[in-house]
Amino acid sequence: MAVIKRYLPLLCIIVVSSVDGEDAAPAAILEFTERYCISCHDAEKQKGDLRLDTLPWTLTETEPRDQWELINEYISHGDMPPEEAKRHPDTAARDAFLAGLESAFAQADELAKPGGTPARRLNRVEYLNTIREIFGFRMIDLPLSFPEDAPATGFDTMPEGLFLSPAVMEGYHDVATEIADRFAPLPNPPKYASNLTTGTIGGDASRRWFGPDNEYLKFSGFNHSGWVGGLWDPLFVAPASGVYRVRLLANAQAELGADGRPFRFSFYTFDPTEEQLMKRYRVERATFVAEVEVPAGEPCWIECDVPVEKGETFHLYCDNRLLPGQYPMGDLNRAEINSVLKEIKERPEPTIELRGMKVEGPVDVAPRVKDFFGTWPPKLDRAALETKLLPMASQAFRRPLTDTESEKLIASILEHGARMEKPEFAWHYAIRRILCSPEFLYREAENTSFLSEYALASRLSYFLWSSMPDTELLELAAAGKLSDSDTLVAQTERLLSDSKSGQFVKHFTGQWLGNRDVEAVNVCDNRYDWDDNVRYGFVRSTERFFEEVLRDNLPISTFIDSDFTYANSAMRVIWEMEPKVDKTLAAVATRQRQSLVWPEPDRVSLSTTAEKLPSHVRNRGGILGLPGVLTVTGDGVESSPILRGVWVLDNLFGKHPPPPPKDVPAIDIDTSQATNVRETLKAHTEVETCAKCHRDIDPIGLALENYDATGGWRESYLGESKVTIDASSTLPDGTQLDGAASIKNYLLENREIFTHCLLTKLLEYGAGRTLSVGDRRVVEELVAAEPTEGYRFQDLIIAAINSDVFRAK
Amino acid sequence: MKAHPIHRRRFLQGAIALPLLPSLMGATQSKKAPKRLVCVGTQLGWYKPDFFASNPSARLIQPFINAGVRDYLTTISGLDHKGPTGNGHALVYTLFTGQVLHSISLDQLVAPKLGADTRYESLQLCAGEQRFNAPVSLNKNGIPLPPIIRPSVLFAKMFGGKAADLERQQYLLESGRSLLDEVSGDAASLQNRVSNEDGEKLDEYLTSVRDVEKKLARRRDWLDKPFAKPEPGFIMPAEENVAHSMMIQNEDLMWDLMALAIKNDACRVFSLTIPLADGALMLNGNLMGAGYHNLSHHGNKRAKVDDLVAIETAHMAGAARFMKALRQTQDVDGSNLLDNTTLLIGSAMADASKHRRVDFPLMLAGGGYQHKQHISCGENEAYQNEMACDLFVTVLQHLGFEQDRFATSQSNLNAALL
Repeated sequence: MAVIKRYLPLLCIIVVSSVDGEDAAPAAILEFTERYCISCHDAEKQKGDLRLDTLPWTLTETEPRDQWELINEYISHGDMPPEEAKRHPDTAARDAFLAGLESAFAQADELAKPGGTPARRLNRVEYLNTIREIFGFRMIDLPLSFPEDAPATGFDTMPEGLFLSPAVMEGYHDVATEIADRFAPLPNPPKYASNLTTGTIGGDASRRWFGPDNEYLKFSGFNHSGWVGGLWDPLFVAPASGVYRVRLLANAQAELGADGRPFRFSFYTFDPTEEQLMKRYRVERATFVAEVEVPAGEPCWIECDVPVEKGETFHLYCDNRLLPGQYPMGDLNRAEINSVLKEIKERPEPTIELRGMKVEGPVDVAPRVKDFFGTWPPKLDRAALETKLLPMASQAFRRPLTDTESEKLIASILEHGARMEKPEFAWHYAIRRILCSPEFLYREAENTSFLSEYALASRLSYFLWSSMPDTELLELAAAGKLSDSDTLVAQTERLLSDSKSGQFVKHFTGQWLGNRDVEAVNVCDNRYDWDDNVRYGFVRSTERFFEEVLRDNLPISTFIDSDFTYANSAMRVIWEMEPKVDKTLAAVATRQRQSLVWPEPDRVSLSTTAEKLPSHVRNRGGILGLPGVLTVTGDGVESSPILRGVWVLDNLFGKHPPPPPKDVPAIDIDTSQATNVRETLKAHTEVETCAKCHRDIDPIGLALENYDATGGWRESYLGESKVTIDASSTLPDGTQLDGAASIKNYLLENREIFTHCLLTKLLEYGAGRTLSVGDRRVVEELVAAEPTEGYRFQDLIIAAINSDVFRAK
Repeated sequence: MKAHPIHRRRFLQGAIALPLLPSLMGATQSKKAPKRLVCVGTQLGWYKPDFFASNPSARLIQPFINAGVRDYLTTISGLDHKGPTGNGHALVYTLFTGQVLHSISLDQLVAPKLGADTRYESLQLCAGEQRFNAPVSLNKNGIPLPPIIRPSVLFAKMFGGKAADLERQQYLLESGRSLLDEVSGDAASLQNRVSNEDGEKLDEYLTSVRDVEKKLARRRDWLDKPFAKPEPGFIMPAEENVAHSMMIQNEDLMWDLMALAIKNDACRVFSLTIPLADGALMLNGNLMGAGYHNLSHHGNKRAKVDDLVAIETAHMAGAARFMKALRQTQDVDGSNLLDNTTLLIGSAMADASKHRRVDFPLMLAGGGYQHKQHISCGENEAYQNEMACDLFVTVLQHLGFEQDRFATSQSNLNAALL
């Protein structure tokens, strides 16, 4: 999560007391503030950016309410009035004031309504998932120039960060055009043609094996995770989606391949910009699209039609060269792969010979175009539009179109087709038009206090799948049944058990637990063991940890402390859990780099009966043991107690320290003599204005100092003088902390803190708003209703979805 | 992390070159040259003791001395927006908006007029990914404009990328406009059915659609005009990386491409955001030992300051190279491009180490001003200005705008600079 989230706008405009329709503060409150506060917090002085003379008393609205809550906190802590103030309230006056505030808050809570999410546009993830579902593309992505979402605060599902600037609109139009190009291509696409010989056919440079006298290329490879032995056209990138005709001058050296079937070539397509051409790529990045048999005997030209998307290329392989299982796969190092391949090369087994390759196209539209349209060029009449276009629009708009909308759409497309004289133009236009409509780009745009059925279906599916509602959800919405409590619960359970909920895991942990930042953090790698395997391990171990709590419906206290965690082999090496052989990270990395199959983390049991573990590993239960979390709260070079403290407060305590006020005096603190970070931060405790927030932040950060910038364990700081780390500190309420375990204990003993925090995060993400006063009341009720054994994670999610916070617009 | 290839020298240094200005083909010597504005802001401030030219050994001025453009700049101290300190980073985007929150930035104010005759009205750039806080350009609705972060995208915008299928482009641009017209209808009808708050969101949509319609119309008009050809010595590197560690390499390309764009008159209004980077940067072939953000919190420790100044010197080296290239190119009025290009460099993070917003580092360069090396503003100084926007008023007037106010200005700096 971003470091300091909320910037409270501190200048208020509405005058308090005597405006019609405005609530006026009770006399007792006003007396107190006039006597003890106004002299510094008036129009003239505005100390700390606070003006009490104009602070509205509307306690049902978030901004003024937050201000009054802060006033409550500072007065009750004795922070205000400050020591140098002339007048101080005695205990009775103070308590009366605080009691007055509390009762006013309670009254406001009765009145405040939950809700307040404005219409929000699909963010990048949601947009991509949705179009992949509607159009069935596997590998479509937004162009590089498409602007990022800009969530300055909070989740990327919150509309404050989802502007629709002209640049975004242009991006949407460009992508819509891209989709239309693939789905309903325009006539006269740009063409490609090539004519290659054995000398010019591209191949995995070190493994283009030739027959005697270089007469032909020998297929000696297989295509699994090693991508060994593929051949390709080095210049081919499809200029348009469609079918490309590939002619190959080839022959097999025997009738049948190792699997007992005739020898054959297989074609695999992929996007070459995703990885550099000569390196290897994860197998899931490529798609098998076509195959052709290769007859034995004399070389002859065989032909294969290969569907390729615009911007993609293909490789070809001989899939049945050897029996499955005889090829090197998985976690091998270069030496091992080389030796196997040497063996293969020298084996006198039959294979395919290739002497030439010609590529041309597109010669036809892609098969899916004909599947969808039935015929190409497509039909363009009312019937065709009604049966094909309206359902597509309805999917895109996430609701059936009204009769008026349908008529207008059909008329417009027919007219466009007539004007351009070719039906392809009309369909191309139709797709772009639908995908640029605000009905597609925005969801939950309505004038209701509680979401309508269709809007609720959208909110639910985008929460748990980051994608559009499916047929079952839409049918329930059509029947008016989705909002019924039992149905909503059942649907939540269904969506959670569907594999599409992996998107919830990915994007919620991406933001709540900082995984997106882990993907991008720059770690100073001459100080730390760091490479892509470590990074991948950090990201995936956080996801798998979260996933286990979710899938097994574990108690949410598991997030605080657990008897398991996850680690991949790179992490095990760093944590010194690997066996002696090949222990160094470099060795592990080398092995993995060769296969380029990044290792998934495995579960590590932390219970005392499990394998012998280093003690710092055994103490890695819960979120605070996840190295990803610990890494993003540093700068890649050094840990930062401030960042860590703020992060823990934000994401586990649900507390957001406000930014420093304007009139922080010009302190010129000389920190050049400080020898360690604890001393550097001492300044925070010495200055009152800093202390107010840093008394919450610093102790937590200091207690985590045994974790370095990549979450590794250290007993002392690097440097000439080995200063042993002192991880002890004191919270404002007097609790002594010493290390991560003490923070966990604190949260376990005061479990409502984390319950409140997690519930709030889920609702912010799912409902897409910072919770309003009315929302918070609902959350507090749910927190108070926590069962004695504690909430379980799925149950908490269900409770959240069934609550008024989620259901209110 | 693998070391990426060092950036290659891309720029033709040397003799004065004639400008390639297709929009002014056939211009005579007496023709008035177009005015250009380049606004550059950093999110991590500048180290002021080495920034202000009042210090004769200011390290950040050295690149300009080396490039022979030292006489075409003025640093200005004592100005700021008089805004609250607040969260150290949150308001750093207000450098060119004058601390009037969510209002238009200087470059966007001038863009419609200055950029009327070029292919692109204005371009917003960023040296790599821009992930925290907003960039320095905001449109008239106060919405931050997402910058181009990839030099290859900027290159394609200027030189047309791959050979375009003109007929197809034409169809897309024309049908695009009628399509946007239709979906505006969708939005208008939707606005009747939604709450007020939603209606405001849809206003955003409608404004954007109208803007894109105008852009498409403009691109349709420009479709018939040829793109410029890049200079023969200019090579874009094969790899492109927008990760923060490669910020300087990315930034170098942005400076060079901006100079090219001005030479080709593809665009006359630019902004460049130099973003906050938490991680360590690659500098001169080595990965630095501390993150950029970390270094900006130097606490006056000598070693950290030196490292920070090294990074900032790299930024200034790009600026100096840019200025030199423009100075060496003739403009249509017989002078040179630099004299007609105003360059503003600064930061609203006045002191990154302490997160303070008092006394911005500001530099005005090029533009044909009466440069004075350094101007000190404030009480007891020759120039009693307090507000940074006073400087922007002077710039606006020099660019041909008849206004004596901008955002939070109280006066102007004409006496000093014009």
